[in-house]
Amino acid sequence: MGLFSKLFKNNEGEKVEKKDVVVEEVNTTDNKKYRAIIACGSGVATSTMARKKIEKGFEERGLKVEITQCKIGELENLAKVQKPNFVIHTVVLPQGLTFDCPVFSGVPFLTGVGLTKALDEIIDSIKK
Amino acid sequence: MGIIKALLDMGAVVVLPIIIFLIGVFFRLRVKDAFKSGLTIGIGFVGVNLVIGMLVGNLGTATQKMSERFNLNLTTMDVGWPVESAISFATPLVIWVFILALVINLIMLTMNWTNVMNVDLWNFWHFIFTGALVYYTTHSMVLALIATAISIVIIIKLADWAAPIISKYFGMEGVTFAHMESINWLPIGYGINKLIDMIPGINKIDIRMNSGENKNTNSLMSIFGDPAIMGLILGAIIGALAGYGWKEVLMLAMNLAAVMFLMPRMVKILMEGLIPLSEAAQEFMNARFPGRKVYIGLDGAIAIGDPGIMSVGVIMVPISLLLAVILPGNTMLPFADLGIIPILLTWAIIPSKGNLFRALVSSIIVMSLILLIGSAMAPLLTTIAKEVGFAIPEGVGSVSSLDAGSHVLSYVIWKIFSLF
Repeated sequence: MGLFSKLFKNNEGEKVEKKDVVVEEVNTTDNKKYRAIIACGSGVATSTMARKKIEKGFEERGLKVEITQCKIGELENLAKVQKPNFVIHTVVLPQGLTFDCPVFSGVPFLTGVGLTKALDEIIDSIKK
Repeated sequence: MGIIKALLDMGAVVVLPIIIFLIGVFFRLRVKDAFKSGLTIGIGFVGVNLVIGMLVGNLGTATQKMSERFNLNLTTMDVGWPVESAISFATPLVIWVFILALVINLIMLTMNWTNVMNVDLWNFWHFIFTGALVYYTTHSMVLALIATAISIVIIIKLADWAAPIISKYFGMEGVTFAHMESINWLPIGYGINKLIDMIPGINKIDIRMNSGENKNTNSLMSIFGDPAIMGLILGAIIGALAGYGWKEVLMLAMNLAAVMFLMPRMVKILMEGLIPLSEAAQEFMNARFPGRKVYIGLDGAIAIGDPGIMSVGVIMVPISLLLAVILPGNTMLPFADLGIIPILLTWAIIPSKGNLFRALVSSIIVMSLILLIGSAMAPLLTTIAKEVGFAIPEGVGSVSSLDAGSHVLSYVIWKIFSLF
């Protein structure tokens, strides 16, 4: 196992380095790390799927994002405490919740339909 | 052959990573990614197994002592959906069910028998679960796979019917729930509603759900929906009822809170391993039907934020515990799955169209069925869990879950195939 983990570490290390170089060349100057909260019914299931896809989308665009997962019942309070750049909900959003940041539906990240558009919308709104 | 047998004997922890790796390679994942997927799933299994031992050991002894003291018949532990899914993924049916589910869906789409594309690989465990019940009863792989195929076709058709209702009720276009444990109650939910329509007097009762109290439901939900707090409270209550001293009560409460918190995290690891495969399957299917308007099958848990479902779900938590005690024939004490009751009752609640009275009546009927089915499955599930290598100690009663009891379709198919 030691050998394997070393192997993976090396691979990953290389990958990150290469990506960084590309980012410097192509991308402008956005080195900011965005923060987000993603909520689903249990805080485990669909939010994990959506989180992975959002992380991938941000990485491909050379942006950094840190995403916390939670249950829908915790979303409003957690958003008040953590003050994220945006929140995402993969379940129906209960009425009467208020947020200080943009709120997006996570359904495109589950179905894969309209995924690019959804990502663009998120990034447009948080870059403003 | 010797090597294959040796591998199979090692159980899911070793075999499933290999299977997942092979499926990953088939879907043209990079070898490194396929390897990582398999490894992650193996790690998830080891994690689930650790927590199961802790849960069953702690809760089993306590519920038995409690049952003896109060002369209850609650010998079955509700170990929750994470355990049922892990048990399903640990059976030898996995690879065949993956292939069956995708091929059947592909054929149904090609022949225009459905508009549903179900690539929610994670929830394929529901189909595996159906097959597993048949497999461990009849010991015939062929019968098990026929049973699985039937459940796949029925769930895809139910998802077809549910799609317009979902877009109307939740305002979500292009998605549906190909999610057995919730959607297999759709015909029963609408059936109960029709029955109430026919009873004079009763059919006039209409108590509207108060949408102004959403704030309250939210805060209630964050307590009842918080597994750690539920584990803590129930652990203390069960410990006290079992006649434990105060030190043991605190220990039990703390251990059960830990189990409730840790179990979903372990399953999350399992899931993360499956995500690359799920994406690959989605691309594979999408590439075959370009431009076709399809409903994507999703996890039924999406509905949980709906105010009607949430408030009835929360009211049903104490009612479910009460039902468990008074319902004749029930042996299961609801525990680990209390938090997902709103999801399980989705289709008991939707047909009531905002009428609290009807929602509660059908929820109580459905919950009673869930408890009875879960109890009926318990002996077999315990055997399967042991057989696939999970740490179920001897003499602590049997394991099942509210979620297992929600698989009414699996239950019916299992009972029919048991006749052979």
